[in-house]
Amino acid sequence: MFTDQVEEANLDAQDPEYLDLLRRVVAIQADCEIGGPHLYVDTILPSAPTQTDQLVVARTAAEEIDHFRKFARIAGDIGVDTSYILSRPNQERYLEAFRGAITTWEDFAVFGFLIDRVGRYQLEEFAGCTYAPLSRILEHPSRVMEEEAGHIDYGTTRTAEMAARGGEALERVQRSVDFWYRTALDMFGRSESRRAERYRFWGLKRRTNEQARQQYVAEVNPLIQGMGLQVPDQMTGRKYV
Amino acid sequence: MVHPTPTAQPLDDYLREVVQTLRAAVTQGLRHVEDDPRAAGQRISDCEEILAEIMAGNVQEWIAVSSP
Repeated sequence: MFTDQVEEANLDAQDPEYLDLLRRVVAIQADCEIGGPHLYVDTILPSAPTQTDQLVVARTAAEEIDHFRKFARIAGDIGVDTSYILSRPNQERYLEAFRGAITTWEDFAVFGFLIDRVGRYQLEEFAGCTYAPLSRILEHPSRVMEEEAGHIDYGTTRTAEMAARGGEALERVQRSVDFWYRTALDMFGRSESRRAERYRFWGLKRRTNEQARQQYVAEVNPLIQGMGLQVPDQMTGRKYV
Repeated sequence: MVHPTPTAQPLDDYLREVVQTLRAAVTQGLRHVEDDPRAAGQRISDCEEILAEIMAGNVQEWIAVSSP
């Protein structure tokens, strides 16, 4: 296992596989950060239920753009131009979760509740990783983790509120949970991914895909049940197991 | 050899400024939601306008504008 702390100044001395994986993971993270706003800004910002909700949507988008900026800067500094990511069609995003569009308030709330939570798991992988500039994105004074936690809390609260109304509202939220839950589980990747093992070897990730997925399930299932919702089957509709 | 891309610094500068402007608009909007919905609405419009530009992603235009 590789345990060095690599700075930008000594990247040239690193193994080509390390550089390849570092460039890839940073580019994917940048894509995910800007992928969220591309799903909901056009549709949800004008249609959110209240002015406060509209402003929270705008603030969420601003924070995700800032997260993109930080990852894009790291990518740029190691020779990867991610500026094209800002204008690529949603259908071309790295992860399927970002390839559609969010058109309902329920989907926006559940996206925060379930998908931003997966994002937090991914970011946690970088804490203390072998590329020091990447690890520093998560450390004080950066507020990336706090901001992501805010998105998750907001989505969780709004989801719970809608579910508590019962009736049609509850049914709509359940449909959103059914869709985003399986999408969330797929975001962790294949359990037998060889690339994931190489990320771990080079100290760019800590957990296996399956470990992270099961920790997520253990965290989120009780929350779903606590809202009076049904936990979807873990295998139904899955693409990456 | 690892070299930074030409867009790394100017894109960072541009987006940093955009995010600051957006945050300020949101803060002002939230301050007015209760007592002046019209003013809050104006700040929401500002956010929509700024975000529409970012979502369009015309990076070369942004960088050209922000370069000396």
